[in-house]
Amino acid sequence: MQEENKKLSFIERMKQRAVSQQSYGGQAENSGANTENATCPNCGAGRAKQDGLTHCAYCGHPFITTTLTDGKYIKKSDNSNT
Amino acid sequence: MGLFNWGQSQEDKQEYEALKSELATLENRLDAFLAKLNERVDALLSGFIEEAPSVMAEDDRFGQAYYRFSSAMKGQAGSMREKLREVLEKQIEPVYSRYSDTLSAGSEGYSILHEWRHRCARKADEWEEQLQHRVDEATEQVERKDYEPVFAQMMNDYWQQCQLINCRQCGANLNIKQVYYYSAYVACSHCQTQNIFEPGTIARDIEHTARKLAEQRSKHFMDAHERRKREERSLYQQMHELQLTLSMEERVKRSGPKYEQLLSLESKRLQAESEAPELLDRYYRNIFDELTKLLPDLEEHHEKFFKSLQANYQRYESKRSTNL
Repeated sequence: MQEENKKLSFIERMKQRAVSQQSYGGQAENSGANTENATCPNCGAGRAKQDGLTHCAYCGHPFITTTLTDGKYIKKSDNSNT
Repeated sequence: MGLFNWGQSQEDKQEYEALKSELATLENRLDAFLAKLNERVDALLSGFIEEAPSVMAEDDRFGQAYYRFSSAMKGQAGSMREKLREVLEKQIEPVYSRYSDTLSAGSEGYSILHEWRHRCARKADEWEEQLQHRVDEATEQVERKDYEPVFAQMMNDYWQQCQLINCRQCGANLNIKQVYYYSAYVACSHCQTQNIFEPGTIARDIEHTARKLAEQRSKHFMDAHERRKREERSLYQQMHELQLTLSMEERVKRSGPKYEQLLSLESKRLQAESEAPELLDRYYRNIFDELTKLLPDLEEHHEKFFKSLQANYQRYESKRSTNL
């Protein structure tokens, strides 16, 4: 390895190290646009916006017992407990 | 040898010649060292400019390998600067302090020593300045990129990806019509299921790239601002030189051809001084106008950002007091 390095110019060694060095936290990953959803642990249905934020809109299984307040994406009006 | 008649005896003359030759030898060695450093800088920067495109071509989208490569180049430049500082500290300064204690102030030897020290320090400073300038220039040359096609390609990719996004519950298209810069809830219009939309790495980069594109589109204002600032500085220097040539009469009476010339330079300088910050303001205003054109949904955020930036640079604005 050292003999190999001797043949390379210092710029080439710099380049080799820059390219081969592992990034902290691993390689950067590219991800495309996609969706996920939270499902009801009881029946597996997706969580619905209007009537399913606090309990399942399909089987009635309660998710949370807190009363919702206005946020950026979830509004007080989405509260399905009331 | 007394303190006040140094340089009179034969012995002193010999010492004086020895001092001159020692200083000249050291200065020649410094010149040779700077020439060697310059060769090394040439090799470093030409290699950097040559190799950087191939590093960039194989790099990930965040440019991590290029970042390491450019940091290595800057590190090499930094270590050359440190070597030069070490030479000044270990070879120039000790000679200066050794002689400055023995030579009487005001003697020819003393002034030669002082001039020699200043010359060496100036050579080192100029070399450092030149190095910084060359490193900046090489980095700019390598990183120069047209962001118009990059941004257009990103937006195109994003909208194409969005067309394929379906509801996880019923499979209907989510019909995404806006740019999401981070994960957000998107409700399906058919079954009302709350989908967690993850816009992907491209969308997370859109805002960042838009900023670079807006800066690229506004660059002419920044260039004009810098030009105006340089003009102002040069006019100020011209005025200073002219002021030094004024006679006492012209100074007291505040009249005469040179004084008139001084006043005309001052009015040009004042104009440049008031136009420079206006151009900087137009540069930032234009950046945020362009950003709003590129990403209209972030208009409110852009305005807030502009106001905070403006408050920041206006705080450090200052004007010269010429007192004519």
